[in-house]
Amino acid sequence: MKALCIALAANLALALNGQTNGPAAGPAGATNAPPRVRPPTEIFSDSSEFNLKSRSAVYIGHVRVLDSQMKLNCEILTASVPPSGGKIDSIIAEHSVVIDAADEQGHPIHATSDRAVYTYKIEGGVTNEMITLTGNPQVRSQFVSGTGDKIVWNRASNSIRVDNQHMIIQQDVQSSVTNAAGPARKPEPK
Amino acid sequence: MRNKRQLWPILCGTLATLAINATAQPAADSEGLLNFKAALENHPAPYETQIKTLLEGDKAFLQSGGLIVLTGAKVRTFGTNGAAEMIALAPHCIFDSGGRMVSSTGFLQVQSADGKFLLEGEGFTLGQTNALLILSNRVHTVVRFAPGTVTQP
Repeated sequence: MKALCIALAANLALALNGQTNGPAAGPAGATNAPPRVRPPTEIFSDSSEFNLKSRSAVYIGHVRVLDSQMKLNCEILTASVPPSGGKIDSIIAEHSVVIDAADEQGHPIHATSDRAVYTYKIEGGVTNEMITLTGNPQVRSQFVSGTGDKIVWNRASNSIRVDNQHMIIQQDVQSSVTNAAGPARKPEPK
Repeated sequence: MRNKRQLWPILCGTLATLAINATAQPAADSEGLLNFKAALENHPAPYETQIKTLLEGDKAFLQSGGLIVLTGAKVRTFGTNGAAEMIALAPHCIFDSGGRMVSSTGFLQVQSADGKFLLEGEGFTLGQTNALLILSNRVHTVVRFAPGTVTQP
């Protein structure tokens, strides 16, 4: 009966971070150093509910997900597994969502929103794995800060789409440029 | 405290009503019953003879209303081949045989047989009818990955 709990939690950890089975592709000329074994993922919360009929898990209150690749804080985290089983297809993080991760170069990425929804689908042989931030979503990295109505991170293509965006490209500490559809700073008259 | 011989028919009657197959041995200290075991659920056909969920306790104390207080409680689940899948440990809990529910204000630890998954917290309710496991306080989940799973470079 509780096997589903195991599946839910295992899938939750994998889904939050992306599954990286098999040897990691190292950079060209890399040494034959043994691959790092992935550290465990930990989830803390005040309470939790595992509904074995609806195949869902809900973590409630001061939820913290600690992983080697990402940290996530929120107040409610809901995960569900499709009736057919397999990989988790939906994770919803709600209320004061804070995500700290790193890009491919290891630069920190900090994202906040009221709600973050992870979805996983395979349609026509194509994997769709998306994280959608809504509710005053904001993303900040070393070079780019952005807000918008909705920020969609396509994990399969590792691309980010921002609806009604207001991006700020930080060229250096002293200057910044406002981009796209958001309210732009007027250029200085020449 | 009731005599052990008086408790046995009550225990067996209660559990038989629920179609639960329970066994226990008289305690050496006349307080409760030793090595309590109750098969809560079997696998569906064609594996109906295989136990799916087994509730055990080092000691069982029968209470009124179909309640059984267990110390050193374990809930173990098994696959259709009899292999252990999961074990839940609670130092102290109450088994409501009528409501088919196990609960406690104390500590619960759930661990998969392969050691990849650990769930623990304080205060829990496991309802067999509604299939709902609620952990009330200080929930901590650990997911360990298979040796072949590596971190991204």
